[in-house]
Amino acid sequence: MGKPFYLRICGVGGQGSVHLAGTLAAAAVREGISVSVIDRPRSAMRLGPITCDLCLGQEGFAPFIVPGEADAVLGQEPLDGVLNAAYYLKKGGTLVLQSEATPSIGEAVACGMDERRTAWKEKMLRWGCQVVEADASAITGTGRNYYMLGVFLRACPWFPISAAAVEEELAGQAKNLQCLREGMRAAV
Amino acid sequence: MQIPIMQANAAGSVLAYGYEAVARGALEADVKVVSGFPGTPSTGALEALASVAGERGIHVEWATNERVALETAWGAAMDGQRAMCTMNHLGMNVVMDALKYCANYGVTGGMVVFVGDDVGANTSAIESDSRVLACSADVPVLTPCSAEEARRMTRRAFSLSEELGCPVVVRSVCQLMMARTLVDVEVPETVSRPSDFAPNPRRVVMFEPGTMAAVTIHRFLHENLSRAGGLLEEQGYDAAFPGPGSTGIIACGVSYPLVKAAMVRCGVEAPVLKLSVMNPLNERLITGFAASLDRILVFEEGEAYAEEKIQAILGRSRLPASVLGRLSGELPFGGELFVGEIESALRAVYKGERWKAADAAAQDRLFERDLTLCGGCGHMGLFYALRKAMEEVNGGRYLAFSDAGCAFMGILAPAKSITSATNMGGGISFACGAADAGSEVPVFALCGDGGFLHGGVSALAGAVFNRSNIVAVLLDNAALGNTGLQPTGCTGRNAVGQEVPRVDLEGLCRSLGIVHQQTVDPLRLEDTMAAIKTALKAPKPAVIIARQPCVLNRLKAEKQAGHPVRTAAVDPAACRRCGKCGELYCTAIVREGKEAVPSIRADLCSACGMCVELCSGGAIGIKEV
Ligand code: SF4
Ligand code: SF4
Repeated sequence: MGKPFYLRICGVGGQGSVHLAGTLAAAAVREGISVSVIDRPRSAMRLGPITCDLCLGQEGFAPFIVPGEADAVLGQEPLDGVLNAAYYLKKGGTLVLQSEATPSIGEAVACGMDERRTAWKEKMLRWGCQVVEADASAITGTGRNYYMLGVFLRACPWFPISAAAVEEELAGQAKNLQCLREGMRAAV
Repeated sequence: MQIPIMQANAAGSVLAYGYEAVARGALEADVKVVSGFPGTPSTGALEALASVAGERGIHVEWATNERVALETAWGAAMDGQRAMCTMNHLGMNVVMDALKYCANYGVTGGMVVFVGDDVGANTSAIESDSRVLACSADVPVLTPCSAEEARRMTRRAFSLSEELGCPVVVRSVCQLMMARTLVDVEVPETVSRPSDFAPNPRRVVMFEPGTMAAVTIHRFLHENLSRAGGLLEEQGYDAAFPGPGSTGIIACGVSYPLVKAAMVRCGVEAPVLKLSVMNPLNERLITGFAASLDRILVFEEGEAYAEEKIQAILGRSRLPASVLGRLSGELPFGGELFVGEIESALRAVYKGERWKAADAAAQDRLFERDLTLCGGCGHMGLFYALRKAMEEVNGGRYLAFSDAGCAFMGILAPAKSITSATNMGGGISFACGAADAGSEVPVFALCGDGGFLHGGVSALAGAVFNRSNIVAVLLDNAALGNTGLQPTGCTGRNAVGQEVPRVDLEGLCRSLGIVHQQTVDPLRLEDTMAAIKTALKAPKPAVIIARQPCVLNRLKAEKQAGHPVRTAAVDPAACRRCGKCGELYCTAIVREGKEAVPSIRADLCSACGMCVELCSGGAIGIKEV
């Protein structure tokens, strides 16, 4: 591949993002693309914020994406997604957001949602970014992360890992594979 | 769970975390005993080895604290076996007493101390650099620059330890350990080492009249380090790369690939010295590298450890090069070094550009999502009961000191239920101090089961014989929750999944001489409040054992047992909108406005029933999802 591709996955709760990043990294290896992924968890509790930086086609080892250089941000929660994008997404990059909000405890206590969820989205559009939102809340149990990956793969066709390689990686994970495909269909 | 790099038939290059590469290195070196205490970013190394413990015949265990882990590994190494202990930077502070003894007395089998430093304190309360501590114990310290080097170094560290007769420290950081990259694997060694216990391999006689054995040994350790330097030089971990100009770069450990990447980004070419051996530093290589330079910029993760030592080395050798880094202000003091910051420093030093500080405020905003307890956590109930009981008894005035387990969440807004949260098991002695100093308000100590067995038991024993006026609350959730649910002595299961007897906390407290103790379920709020009020009137120190399994483990067990998933739900018709349920600060309870009927997120609710007990209108019930 030519230029490296930098993807930040962010979410709350941890394992969904880590699993997704691992699948993508394995798919990259399958496709012969050099890869590093770094997890940055903040706590093991439910709702702990986490980011995973995926560097594809990069020479050497520098696992964290440099602010302002992410080609894409995949946010599993709209506030965490836009805040990460505000700092990391490059101008003209792709932001894919799961639209169902998970309020933080501060929001739950204050009884009001942080308005930056909307404000930053609008700002991103003004920056020339592509903002794609999808509601994965219809999926019960696990799999929302793969649904969102499906949406992302469709929204970002220049992503260097093919959908086929991701699907191969998910062989034996029926639910995740099904969610991925649903996400791809929903994004069409 | 199958971890690809730990498989016996793994071959070629395998995608793996840095900590898995360390585990693979230990596996390839035929490690026989592994003992550790969890802490990011070291935890996964032990878990990876535990995943193959049975098939490889390795004894893998979670110890009650890091010192116990080190002593266990040391005992195995005295027996001629290869052994490893694992911990994070906070644990390194705990083991120093034992590590110094271990270095002095020596080992016969290879012994590796793997320590993961959470530089940047991403999941820790404080930063600390284990290189500084390990160096003070006069043992070799290796800091890999890549996961691949981590594997090779760890493997080599065992044989090096045997050659030198002392433990070898492998230290790394989050930026390497939490990253997944391709790692080469080699065929594991299998060497049968006879059990041959040498209790005192160096024949140290500490107190023999008329001898200076301890001093002699101390001198020997320094000579041994020189020998280590020679053996390590042969490995080629450190290397100088020529380049133009009179300003050179020394990059330590994982900083090396980051510096290389930053140099490409900003088009800087310069002589570079890669250093992976941190103790002893290779003086010959450093002075040779510095001889023709005016300035040297040092990059390292953690303290200005190498920067200071290199300055001293150049001073001793009367070399004029000035050393730049964290101390001289070219790099920020503390925190991780990212490529962007390294690039800014290179631009400032090589191109005279203004230093571009990272937008720390923007970075902080990313983590604005408050850390919070899981919905239905027993700690949540205890915190609620503590606040409410003390409101009723003493106008809300009390002191409560916790340790670093999940209970530390009590210090956070919005609940702010506790006064401070410090080191593992430290809350009890902290509370004793506050009570002994004459606190005018009731003093509580909070301690998880992990923290209690880590260091709290000795503190509680002290509280008994010093008659400290405290109420100690042991939050027994049978897990180390905030490091990822590792078992404690109270779990009934060990690191390799065997069923084992639980530590009897009630019996333990009784044997320490606790006169008043009561066990409660912290999800039963009225009972817990009553227990707190009773303890306040009882002889001190008093103990409350608040027992409720970690909610994540409870949910997992319920799922495995095929129980239906349940959630609390609000009946809007019955809700009085009093907001009482919100006083729990449960993450699953959401209100769109102060006057609104709350809703409960089924995916975050664990059906603990606390809000059902609290609800003034009887509006909350538990139902199947
Ligand atoms: S039952 Fe109530 S208090 Fe317990 S987790 Fe669910 S919403 Fe929270
Ligand atoms: S405690 Fe019960 S009545 Fe009060 S707001 Fe909550 S659900 Fe409604």
